Amino acid sequence: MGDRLESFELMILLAVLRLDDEDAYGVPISTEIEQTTGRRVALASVYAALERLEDRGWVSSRMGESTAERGGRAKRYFRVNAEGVRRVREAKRTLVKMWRGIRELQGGTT
Amino acid sequence: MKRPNPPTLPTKLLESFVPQRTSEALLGDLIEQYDAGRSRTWYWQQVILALVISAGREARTRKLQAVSAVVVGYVTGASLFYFTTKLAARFVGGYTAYFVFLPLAFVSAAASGWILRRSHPRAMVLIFSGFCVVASVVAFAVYAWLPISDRAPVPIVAFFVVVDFIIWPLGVLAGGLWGSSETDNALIRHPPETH
Repeated sequence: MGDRLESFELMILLAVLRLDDEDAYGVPISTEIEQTTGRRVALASVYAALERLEDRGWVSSRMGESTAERGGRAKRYFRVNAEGVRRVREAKRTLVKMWRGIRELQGGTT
Repeated sequence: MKRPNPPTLPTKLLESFVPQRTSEALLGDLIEQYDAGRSRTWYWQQVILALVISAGREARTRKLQAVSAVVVGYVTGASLFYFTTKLAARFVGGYTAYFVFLPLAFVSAAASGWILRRSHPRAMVLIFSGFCVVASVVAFAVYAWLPISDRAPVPIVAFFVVVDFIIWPLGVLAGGLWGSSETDNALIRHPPETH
């Protein structure tokens, strides 16, 4: 696995970047991915990916206040670090480079 | 109208066997979604997935502890089961003895789960329980290759299927849950000192 950015992890990083700091916890992150991709996402997979990214230092997290409507459990907010942003940019550059010059992918939107 | 509380057992399983770093926030998210209208089935599915992912991750990152958990769990559970069934066989015989062996299997597995929960990180109970199921699948696959003449009578095979795939894994988890509640109570009685 190493420090290669998998496609699901890239989606997670993009979802966290799209959300404000005060909204970037498990539920909105998975909703963001579901709405964008149309794929169902398990919360446990989202946390597993976020923890992998945190272990690599690409994402950081902090615990919020515990609230009664969450059974007294706190939210865990995530933020993409500078290294995470650099990795996303790098992934985009690589994909765009790969895209160029492919006849089948030119001209249409699908 | 407020929805009924989320199912207790999966909540307890997640709290007991998934590292707190993940379980606290994940449980909050699950409760939030459940209150927003998700079903009990969805809640169970999310918890089972979280348990599987957590066990896999812990097994990969703490290989030595995982091996130690399997060895400790197997040695304690199997030896307890061996000695208690040996003792019980003195008083009951024939096929009826197997009905006595079933609760003994559960108690032995629960004891191994309890010991693991008290001596290893919380996810190790889950890893041992999963190992038991995988080991049973392998054992039965090997058994299926034996010539029919070497096979045990059907009631004995049925007994081992029930023990290996149901009683033993559930017993380990039950013992782990019991060990967790004792750990939690000890923390309530003697909270860790804050500096």
